[in-house]
Amino acid sequence: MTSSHTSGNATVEKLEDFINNINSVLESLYIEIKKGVTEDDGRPIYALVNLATTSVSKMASDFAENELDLFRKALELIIDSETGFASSTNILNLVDQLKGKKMRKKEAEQVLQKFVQHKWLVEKEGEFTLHCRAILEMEQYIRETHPDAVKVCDLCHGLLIQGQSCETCGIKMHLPCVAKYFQSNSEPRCPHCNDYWPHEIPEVFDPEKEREAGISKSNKKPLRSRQH
Amino acid sequence: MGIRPPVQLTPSVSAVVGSVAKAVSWASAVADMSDEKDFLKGGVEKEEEPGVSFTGSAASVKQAEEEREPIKVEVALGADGCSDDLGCGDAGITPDLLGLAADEEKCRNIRKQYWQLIYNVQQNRDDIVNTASDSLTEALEEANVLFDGVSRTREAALDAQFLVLASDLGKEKAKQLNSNTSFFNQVAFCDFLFLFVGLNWMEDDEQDELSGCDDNVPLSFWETVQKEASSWMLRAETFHFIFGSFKSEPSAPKHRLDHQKKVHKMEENGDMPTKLRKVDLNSNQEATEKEVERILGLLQMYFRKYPDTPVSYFEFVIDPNSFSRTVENIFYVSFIIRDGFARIRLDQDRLPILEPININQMGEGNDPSSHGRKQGVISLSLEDWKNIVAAFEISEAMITNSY
Repeated sequence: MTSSHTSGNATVEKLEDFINNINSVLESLYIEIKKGVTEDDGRPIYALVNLATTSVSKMASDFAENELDLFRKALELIIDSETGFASSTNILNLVDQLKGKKMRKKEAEQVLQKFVQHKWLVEKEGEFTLHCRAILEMEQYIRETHPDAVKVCDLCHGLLIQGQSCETCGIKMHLPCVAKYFQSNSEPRCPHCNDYWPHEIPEVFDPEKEREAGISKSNKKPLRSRQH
Repeated sequence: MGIRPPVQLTPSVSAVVGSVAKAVSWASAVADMSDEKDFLKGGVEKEEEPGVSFTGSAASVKQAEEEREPIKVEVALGADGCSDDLGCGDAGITPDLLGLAADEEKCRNIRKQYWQLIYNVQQNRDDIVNTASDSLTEALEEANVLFDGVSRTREAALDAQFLVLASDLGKEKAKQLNSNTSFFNQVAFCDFLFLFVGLNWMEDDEQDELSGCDDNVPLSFWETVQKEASSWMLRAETFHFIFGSFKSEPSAPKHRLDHQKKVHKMEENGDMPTKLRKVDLNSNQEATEKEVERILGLLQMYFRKYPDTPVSYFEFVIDPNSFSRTVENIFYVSFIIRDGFARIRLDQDRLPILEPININQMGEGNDPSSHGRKQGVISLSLEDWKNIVAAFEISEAMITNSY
């Protein structure tokens, strides 16, 4: 869901108010619409996330016990990895240790694809990382269960899965954070150790360009259609 | 309603009159019950008719009183309604009585027909109610026709009885009709669904057709149905989440530490193989260089021992005990020549000899590049090697082994 655009900023503020209104009602149910930014291109996203573990939330799941365990193991691998990506081979090698009903490797592949379809994981060249929606929902869980392995962005202090890191001092930054910090800076330097920043500086996300690209693409069919 | 009797009557006659009056009022009441115009007409007619018959019967009663008793009885019976066992062939029958008799014959007929009709309808009751036929309407029309001939209350009463029966049946039919409108025919709906989706399997003779279809047929069936159905329903998306579906384990941190240690170990192990590899690679090259240096050392030692005597190439290089060593020696000597530490040239016998090059000479710009690139290829087969060993009488190798 992206914010709708008309000329002027008033519409964007209305969206914030709109979402705040909704959130105030959802608070009692421990559900919230969170705003985040995708780690790869800096696009703003809104996601409806669940905030609490209750007896109800434990029951209402789309996935079986072994599938959830697979997701948890994949999550661990992704957090422990250097690049924020876990290879499918490594994930599949853990299939034997899963809780619940025994899962074959082939089934596990399909389950991983299911996760990609439901936008929990993102696949890139055989490697998996967390979808931004999953980061928004699981941030609390990740900070609680993997406090030492968690990587944090030096600029925004938010949870970091993918990003660029300084070779000398080891600090990491999100790609959109890097884009904003080094915007129109011909000599990018690490904010911590002042060494030359060795990586390519990505471009700041531009919603206008995105819209133009979207118009040229064919329209996606809406999920709810009342008429043919 | 009351009818004033036109003549003074005896008590018996008055009883008859009373019963007739009762019958008339009852007939009119029946007329009120029915909605049909015909029946009302009949009712109106009945009002008149009894009057006629009444006067007729009254007259006959008077006559009977004057004449004989039996006739009175007969007339009484006749006043109530035609009796079947009325003997009309009695003496002293007036033309009125004859008319009465003819009427009674007709009435008997009518009554007979009514009874037949009622019996038929009762027998076919189930049929009439359950089937969508017009048999009830037909029976009603028949009764209508019959009623045109009705002149006495007795027949009218029969007609009323038939009407009651008919209206009962009608009510039952109506009840059935109501339940039929809300009746859902599942089989018909299924057939229509298949038609909608495009699977014309009503035409197929084989009943197993559907079980033989592949998975795509049911999938496409449900997709088509879903497309149509979802446009008629408003549905909010269900809420999908993962957080909260499983407990966050406190044992996970411990797990993590082990993991980290393992990771470090892995890295250390990772270092070692690479180091070894480097050593290996170096050792290969180093081995060659070492050998070359060793052989150069040997050559120079020889030259120091025997100055100004160049050594025969073959004598230097060949190992009479091993062909492969010979080849290696040739290889190493070629390095020495390439690097400019020695020179190979042909002597007066056209045999190759090795001459050392002094370091001084090297420094004077006698570097290999100024000589130009001169390349020579020495090929030595097993036969050649054996022949050379024999020809030169080489008994032991000049280049001794280091291992």
